Amino acid sequence: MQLSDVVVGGIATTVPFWPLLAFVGLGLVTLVHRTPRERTVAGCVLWSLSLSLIGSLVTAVFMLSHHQDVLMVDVGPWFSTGSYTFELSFLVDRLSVTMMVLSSAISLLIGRFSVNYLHREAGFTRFFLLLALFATGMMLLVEAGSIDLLFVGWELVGLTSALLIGFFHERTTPVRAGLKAFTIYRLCDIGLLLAVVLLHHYAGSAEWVEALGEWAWPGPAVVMGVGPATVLGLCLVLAAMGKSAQLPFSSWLPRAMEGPTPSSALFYGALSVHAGLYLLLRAEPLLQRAPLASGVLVAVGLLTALHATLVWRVQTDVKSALAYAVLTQVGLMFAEVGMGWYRLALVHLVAHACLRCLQLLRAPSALREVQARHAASQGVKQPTVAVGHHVLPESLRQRFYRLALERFALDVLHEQWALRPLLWIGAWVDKAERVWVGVVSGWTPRSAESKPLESGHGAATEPSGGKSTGAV
Amino acid sequence: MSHPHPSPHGTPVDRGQHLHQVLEHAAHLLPAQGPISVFVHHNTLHAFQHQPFHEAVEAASAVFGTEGYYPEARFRELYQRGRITDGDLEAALAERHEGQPVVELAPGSLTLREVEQLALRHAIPVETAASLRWKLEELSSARRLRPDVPEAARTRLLRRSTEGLRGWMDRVGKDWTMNDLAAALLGPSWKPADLSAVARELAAVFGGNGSLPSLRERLAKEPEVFAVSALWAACRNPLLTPETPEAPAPETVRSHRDVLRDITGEDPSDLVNPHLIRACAAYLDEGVSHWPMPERERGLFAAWRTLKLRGSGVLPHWLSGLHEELEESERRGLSAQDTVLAALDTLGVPQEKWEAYVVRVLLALPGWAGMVSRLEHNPADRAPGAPPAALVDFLAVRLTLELYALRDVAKRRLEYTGPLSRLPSRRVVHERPEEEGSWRFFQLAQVAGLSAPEVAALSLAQRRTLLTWLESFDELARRRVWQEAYEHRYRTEVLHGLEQNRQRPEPLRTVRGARFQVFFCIDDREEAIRRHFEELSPRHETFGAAGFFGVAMDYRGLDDANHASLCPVVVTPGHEVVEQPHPEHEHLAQARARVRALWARFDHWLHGGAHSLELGWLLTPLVGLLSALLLPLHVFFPHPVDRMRRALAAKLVPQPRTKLASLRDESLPAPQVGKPRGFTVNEKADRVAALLDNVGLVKDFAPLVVLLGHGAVSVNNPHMSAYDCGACGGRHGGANARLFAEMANRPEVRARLRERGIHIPAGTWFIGGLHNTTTDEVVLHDTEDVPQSLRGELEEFRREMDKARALSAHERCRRFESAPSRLSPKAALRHVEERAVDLSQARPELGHVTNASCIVGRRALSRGLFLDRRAFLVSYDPSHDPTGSILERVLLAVGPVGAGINLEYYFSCVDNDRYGCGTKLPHNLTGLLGVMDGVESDLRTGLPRQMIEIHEPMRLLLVVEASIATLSAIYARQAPIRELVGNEWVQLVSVDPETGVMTRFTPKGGFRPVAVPSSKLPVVATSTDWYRGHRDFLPPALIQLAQPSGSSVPVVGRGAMPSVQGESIHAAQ
Repeated sequence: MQLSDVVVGGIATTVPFWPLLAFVGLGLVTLVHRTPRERTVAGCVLWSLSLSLIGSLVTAVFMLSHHQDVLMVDVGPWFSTGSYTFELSFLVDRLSVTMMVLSSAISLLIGRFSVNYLHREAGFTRFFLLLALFATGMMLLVEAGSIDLLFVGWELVGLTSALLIGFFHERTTPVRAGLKAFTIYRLCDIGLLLAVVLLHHYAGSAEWVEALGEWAWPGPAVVMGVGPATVLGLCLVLAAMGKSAQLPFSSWLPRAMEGPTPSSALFYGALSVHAGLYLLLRAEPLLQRAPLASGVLVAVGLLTALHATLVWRVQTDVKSALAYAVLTQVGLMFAEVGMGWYRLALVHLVAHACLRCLQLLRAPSALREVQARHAASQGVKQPTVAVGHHVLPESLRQRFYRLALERFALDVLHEQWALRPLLWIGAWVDKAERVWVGVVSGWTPRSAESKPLESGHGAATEPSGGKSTGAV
Repeated sequence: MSHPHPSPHGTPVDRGQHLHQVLEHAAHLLPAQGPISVFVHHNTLHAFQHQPFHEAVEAASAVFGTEGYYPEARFRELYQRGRITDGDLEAALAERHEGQPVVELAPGSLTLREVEQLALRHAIPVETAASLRWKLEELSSARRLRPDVPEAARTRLLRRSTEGLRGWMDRVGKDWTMNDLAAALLGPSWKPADLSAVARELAAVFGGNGSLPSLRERLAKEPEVFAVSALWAACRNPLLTPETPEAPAPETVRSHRDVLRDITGEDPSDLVNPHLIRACAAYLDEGVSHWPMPERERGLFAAWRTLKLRGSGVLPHWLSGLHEELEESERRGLSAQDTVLAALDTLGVPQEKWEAYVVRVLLALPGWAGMVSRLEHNPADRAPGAPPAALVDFLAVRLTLELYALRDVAKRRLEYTGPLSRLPSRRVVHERPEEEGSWRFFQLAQVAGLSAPEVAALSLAQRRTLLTWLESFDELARRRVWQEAYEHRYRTEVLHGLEQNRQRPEPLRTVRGARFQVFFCIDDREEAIRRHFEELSPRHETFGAAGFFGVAMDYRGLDDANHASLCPVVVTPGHEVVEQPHPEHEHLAQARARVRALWARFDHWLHGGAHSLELGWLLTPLVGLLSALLLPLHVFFPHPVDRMRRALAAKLVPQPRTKLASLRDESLPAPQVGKPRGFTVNEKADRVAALLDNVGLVKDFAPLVVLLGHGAVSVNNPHMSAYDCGACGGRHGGANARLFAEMANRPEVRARLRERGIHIPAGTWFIGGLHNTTTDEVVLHDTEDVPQSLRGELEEFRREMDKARALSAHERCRRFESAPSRLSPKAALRHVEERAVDLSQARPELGHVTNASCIVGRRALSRGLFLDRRAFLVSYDPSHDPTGSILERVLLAVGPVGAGINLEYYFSCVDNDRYGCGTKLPHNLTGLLGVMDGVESDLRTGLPRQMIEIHEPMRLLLVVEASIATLSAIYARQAPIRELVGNEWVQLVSVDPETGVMTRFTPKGGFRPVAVPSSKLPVVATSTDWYRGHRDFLPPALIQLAQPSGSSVPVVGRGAMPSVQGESIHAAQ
């Protein structure tokens, strides 16, 4: 039994490792030598993903057959600062093993699909490298034993997501869309970063089992004050909202459909878009302690679902329609998590990921499907399923139609309420700095010389404020 | 701007009419592709078809900013690979200089032709000052020869140069000083200096110590540095200036957007397009959205205005003021036309430039503008009740938005806030290096193997002449010659093949006592299956006829919702035909309809439900778990899954026997409304006789005559219909074949035919069917009606056809890079079947990708010739057509269809990004109308890259077995033929039916004899022997023809034949 634990722990550890190996190996070959043949690239990545899947399945079977709920795998120290050591550890429990199987299975499927789909495409190798890197990131994310390691996976997922949105980098729209997604990711990562720091601060450890308790998932509420739990919870909610494109950050999701169809299916149908939910499910003991954060979740989720279902019904292209259909369900899942229905949310997540993945892969068939239905019903028009908007009075309906068509003008609002003020503050700080330097250097030159520390301090902080606005 | 003055205002009515005309003209330049559910190939440059090909390509490139030929680099690559040879270039150049004397500079020196040859083979790109500096300083281009100088020229250059330079060095001390030598070696910019400085400089360049003996030593060791340096010096002494004709660029109208984009680098369209695309997509949507745009029936402009006024929303900063403007516009009741006119005035476009200006504006988003225009002119493309489309509406919305965008960009980037009509214009001028002429001459000298002393000996005038020859053969001219040479290569190969085949004894190439006669579509894709079928036995005869078999009809199958026209798009059918269940199967048909309707409702709810919030909360978890099972099956086992699906469907859905309701009583009058249903006996006899006459089959009927229409089925492919039968209007042609067989089997029809001299014996039976070009499946219709006596023959036919279709699949697989290289025919068949049902397959089949020629004539001309699936084969018997009237009919049908397919592939191939629709991977179906790249791009028209990857873009080679006199007469009579042939959109070659002499039509000199090599072609036992192990294009080869001797013919050299059982050839229903 003891031995088995160790072996299975080892197997679980290798799950994120295989795709990483493929990425590094192929990446190095491509970097120093020349691009390998399609067959080699696809073969390497598919093998690594298969090994990942096998590892996940073995782990899952072991957990099921041994009725083991939690398995902690300590790989070793990661790095240490002073007296504190960051541990590299994996946590395998019902939640993460479900997600491991789902993620590795879907990654493998998408990899297999892409062999034919991307055949002879100039970016073939790039695509598969990013796929392997994404798989690594996703596995790290779901298997991470600590929030620190989760952060690493989180960032890898975000990075590959942005790079694949901009896969066709010879056109400007995909690159812009990728940049937009990346910006919103980074903005919301502030939440995760804060959560990392705060968790260390409040719980004294970033290990999930130490901070949240070693319970079978879903576990009871964490032992922590309501205040800290609420702050932490809200930080995590912010992080999850960005990754899962909840209101008001949802405008990047439809734009993300610029990449090749399989990557859209993988990221925005199946896995990446659910990563935020996974984070919330993982931190569920915290949320139980933080009714405010849960309330925010319900509100955000329901609003997103409502908004998305309104926008979905006016979309005229297949991929945008799917993007908003995804948002509708993810919004519902957010609400479920907020209500404390964690098991339901997990089942919903798995089912939804499979469904959307298949639907997105079949997106180019939409025309034939409509034609087939039309012919089979002998041209009889079917009543529409989407009846919700008919309850609106006529005058409101016109109002809402435009809102929906323009996707609630989220882009414009972002620009007006976030970007402009930020730029304005940047400009103001810049001006203030000039005035300040003028004051310091021009009016009282002697005091400027005598206070080099102060002016140096000002110069160090103020331009950085300006720079961050420039990047947005 | 080129037109700063505001236009003189005419009367509103005049101006409105003028605008109307302008839009009519502008619409011609927009893509003519309709909704993607029916894809009909047509000449992408149809609007320019009245001009000669090369001129049209040039004109179109100027208007659209596109490429009309392959880039030179690509042609050179083809030259390296042997797809274009020296002989082809020679021939193409000879044609270019036809009738002109050979121009030579001096006896024994370079000729004009040679200079052009060199310019073709060696790239001498235009340099900017910066790139020239880079080449000289970083790439040492003045010290080393170009890497692509041919070995012979290199040796010659170095030898001559070394000899000459020794002579120069010998002169030092006689009539030259060291300074003179340095100037000759280093160039005219040399400043005379004292001896030690000279030595230092020379040593720095050539090594050694710079003294005369040292230089001699270095020259022997490293002649290249000396040769190149001295050559570059000689070319610069004096500096040559290219005499580019200073013709000012033709006065092109540029829109404000072009001007601002050129000056600021920001495209105002980037602001406008997302808004316009969303409005257009919502307005034109045919069923993706679940909540249609309100007030669509009032037209795009009015609906959009209402939307903006009544709807809630936030306008982006650059559009502030739009709301007030639209309010004013609504209050005054301005129409789209008023808005456009006002906008043109605001922009300051004078009336005579409206057309050019509007074209520029529309071409900013050609796909959407083209779709609006197409729907405006062909309302039949849409479902009844669809909102009206009008280009003027589109333009009104576009200009309204564009004015704001222009003002915004001008203000932000140029701080210009004045009226747009006075927007300052600037043109970017490229700086040209002063050494440009000398540099280009220097490059020419290298590749020609001219040494410095030889150049120094040329007079200035001679150098100028050489440079002028080089310059006047500009890039466009070179690419034309490459294109002609490319076509020459293929033309020679095919004509050589035909010539060699003709020399084989005629009885070998003709079929006597045919056992099976099979009609295929003329499609190039059917060439392989025809050839393989014929190889199986000398008693197998095949014919090629346009795949609607002369039966134009509006057809509605048992499972169809509406009628669809099964005929070429230029024909409007006069008859309706409906597929009906047999009387005793009526109940089955009803059950079938019920089951299918039930399925449709279920699927509809499932589809909409999983997307919506109303049902999705419940459906998603349920259906999601099911799709967790389906997803891996679909991805890993597409073929078995599809088989299971089909088997399940066959079990659940009843399959009634059906018949075509095609006979109409002659005594009944034509209906008042709609089209007559079915054909009368006379009409039937007309159609049967016409087809049999066309192909020349009027006697010697085989017991079984089979007609196979064709179609393609694939999944996950918005462009599926582009693989279908062009002669059936982008649909499947099985129904036409079935109907034709039904007509020809009717005793009354046969009686009428006998009156016309066509005796179909009682023992002959016609069968219609469908050939699926993706899976090579063959389905035969109405086989229950085949007389008992022919059942055995039918079985035998199925067996033979199974062999042929497996071999056809086998031959196709060699061109799929992703197919295994060694496949048995049976495995090949499985492979192509899998491609058709694989969701991940972006290339279900090859389509017309290799099409290049069209052969109109008796099959005897091409039977036994391997044509590599590149030829449309049209059966026509000149011996039955003394007046040429049949040929006229055939050419009128085949010419435009073949040229349309060929030219669409041509242009999508040479400029896939602009004439084609780019890679399929990011394609996103929009409004059921077309595809976009991602979520907010233009509608992409033309063919995707996956369809043209292995295409060779060349104009259709039309080989007709008819005398020059017949062809000339048709050319004179028929304007459509004259346009295609006379303007060189197709290449026409006549093969005289009597003598076999081949002549090619040239617009300048009429028909001229073609020089065909007399070498023998390789002879192989079977096609498979010829293509086995090859993936690329193959030249023609002769296939051994056997004497017909009884029914079983031993075939030499064929390996074990696959025994594919007849299970997949089965009757429909």
